[in-house]
Amino acid sequence: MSPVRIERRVLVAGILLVVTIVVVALTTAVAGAEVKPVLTASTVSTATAAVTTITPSIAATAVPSGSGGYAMDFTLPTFGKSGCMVCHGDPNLVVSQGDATHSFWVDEVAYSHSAHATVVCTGCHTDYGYKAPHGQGGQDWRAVAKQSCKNCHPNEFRDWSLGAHAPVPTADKKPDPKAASKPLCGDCHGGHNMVVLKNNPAGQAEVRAQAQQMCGRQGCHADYWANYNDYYHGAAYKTGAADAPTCWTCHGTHTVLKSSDRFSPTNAANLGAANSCGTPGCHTDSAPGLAAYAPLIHGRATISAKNPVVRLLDFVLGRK
Amino acid sequence: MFSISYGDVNVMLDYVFMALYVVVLAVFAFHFFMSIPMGRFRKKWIEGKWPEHDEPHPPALPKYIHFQHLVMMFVLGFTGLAIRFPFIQGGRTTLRYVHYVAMVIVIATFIWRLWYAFASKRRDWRAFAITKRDAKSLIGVAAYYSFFSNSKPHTDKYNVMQKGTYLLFALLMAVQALCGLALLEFWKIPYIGLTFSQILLGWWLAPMVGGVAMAVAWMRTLHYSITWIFIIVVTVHMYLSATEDIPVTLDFFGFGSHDDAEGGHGHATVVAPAEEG
Ligand code: HEM
Ligand code: HEM
Repeated sequence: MSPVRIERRVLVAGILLVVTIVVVALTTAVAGAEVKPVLTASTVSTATAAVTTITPSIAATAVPSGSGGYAMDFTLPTFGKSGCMVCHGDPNLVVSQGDATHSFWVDEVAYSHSAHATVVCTGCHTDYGYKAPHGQGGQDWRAVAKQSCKNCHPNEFRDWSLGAHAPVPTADKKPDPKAASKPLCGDCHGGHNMVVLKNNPAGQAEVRAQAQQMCGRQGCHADYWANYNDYYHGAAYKTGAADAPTCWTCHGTHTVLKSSDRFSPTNAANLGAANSCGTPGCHTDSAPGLAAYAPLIHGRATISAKNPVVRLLDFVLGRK
Repeated sequence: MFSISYGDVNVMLDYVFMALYVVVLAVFAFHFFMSIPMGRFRKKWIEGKWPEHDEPHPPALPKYIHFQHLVMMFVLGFTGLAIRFPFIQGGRTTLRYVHYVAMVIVIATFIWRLWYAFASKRRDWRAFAITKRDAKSLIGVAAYYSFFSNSKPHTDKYNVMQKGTYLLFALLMAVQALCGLALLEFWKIPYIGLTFSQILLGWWLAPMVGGVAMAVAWMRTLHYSITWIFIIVVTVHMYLSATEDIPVTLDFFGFGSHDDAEGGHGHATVVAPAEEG
């Protein structure tokens, strides 16, 4: 009996080893191919760390440019970048206002890798001409630059102007009182370091990863960013799942509408539609029934808070 | 049409099962503590009187199959929970694929064990069949585990609660495999051109809940619930195999031996001979 048993043990150990190796090899082989995009995206974003996520804040108040502390009067060769970069190419170019110091430096290396590498400064800063020092008179040069995009991207500008992010005049034809808090192109897309999207999966992945900076930052939809934590969409997106949707996958891109709007993809009536939950690659055959899941997407925390088990626990632990 | 909110059900399952699991762990602590005044702790761990067994050693193949099952179940449970609660940075796609590979292996392993039980030369399905005698012993066995009595009726290799548990494992495994396959809503089976979800759910649950996608969502909830049942029952199974009969458990995993001729296992008088697990 006993020699046989020893052989069996060796056999079992051998089989175990082989199976383990096969399992590990299989999983790495199958999964390896899939991980790559994720890895590339993160590698790229670290490599170009300086270029990413420097989205201007709309909370920043219009800074009157130029401090008035210097006197110059000369014409700049603005139909190139060289003229502007004489001053703005200097990392030490700062303007102090009160106790804040603003940098007016433009990183030329980052700019030369951006989508607009070949666009001249005045292509976007259309209110800047020829003279230095400039900007006195307190014009809102940021707002001008942030929406000068329409000159080259008229379709996107039109789409934006149809959505909830565009200012709407009041009934008595006064300007939208909330206009200052509504985002212009540059508020979401950033400025000098805008990534190349066309034929550039790494750039697309980079933008896809910026939901918090674009939509969920303080002053915008920080609350909806925080409560976007259901199992498969929000929580997964926040831990970098390549297949989890980002804000605009569901809410749309340029023509963002309130969910109460009949035409919003997140309107309850549209959730089953082909451009909402039924977007290709998401829930094929979604049908209206799938709307039953929707309350979890931004509401898991609320649903949890009223769960009897949680309330019992809160009571026992004396929370709230 | 279902009137219960799908969201509420999901959140409820998370909390109910987590709470239940804490209770199970507390029961273990109590159970282990109780074995001291009952004399079982001293008998086994100090005097070394572990249960005696009808056959000297379990054969090698079921031991191996059990081991492969066990590893795959841990992999499936871990990756599955990481799919639902993405606590790992990045790599959800990897976890999914690991789950897919493990699910194929576990289904093959399950079929292998069924073949061994029913069709092999050493078929052992009788060891799991609950007889009338077993049924009558249920109260006695339950009383032993809950410390109402200190002796356990011996009927067979496995006692009636073990048999019940192992049959439950098999049943859960079958259901888990079916509702798991039903979650494959994107992969069209070659030549058939339909997904597992469509084949498994399209004709009954989908019309009831408003579409295949929603039917898949309910299957996810079922798959998740069974995951918890597995976690709880396997934890009990691990606790009992360690505390009731550690020598046979070690032997079962290839370490040591419970053979009376070799080791110094005395005859337990209080605990009737029975193999635990
Ligand atoms: C028996 C064969 C099994 C099959 C065919 C199977 C299949 C699947 C599939 C296809 C998914 C969906 C994965 C995705 O979203 O991409 C899944 C998820 C999951 N599986 Fe399994 N699985 C099996 C066994 C198990 C076992 C044994 C466990 C746990 C002990 C388990 C736990 C889970 C969990 C927790 C999820 C996540 C559920 C959710 O999304 O909420 N699975 N499984
Ligand atoms: C570390 C974890 C585990 C330990 C220590 C353990 C231990 C044991 C032991 C000692 C036996 C008795 C075998 C005999 O003498 O015939 C057994 C049987 C069994 N266990 Fe486990 N087990 C573990 C995990 C699992 C898991 C994860 C499952 C399935 C989900 C499982 C399912 C079974 C079944 C079905 C049997 C009886 C049939 C067979 O021999 O395969 N066990 N286990």
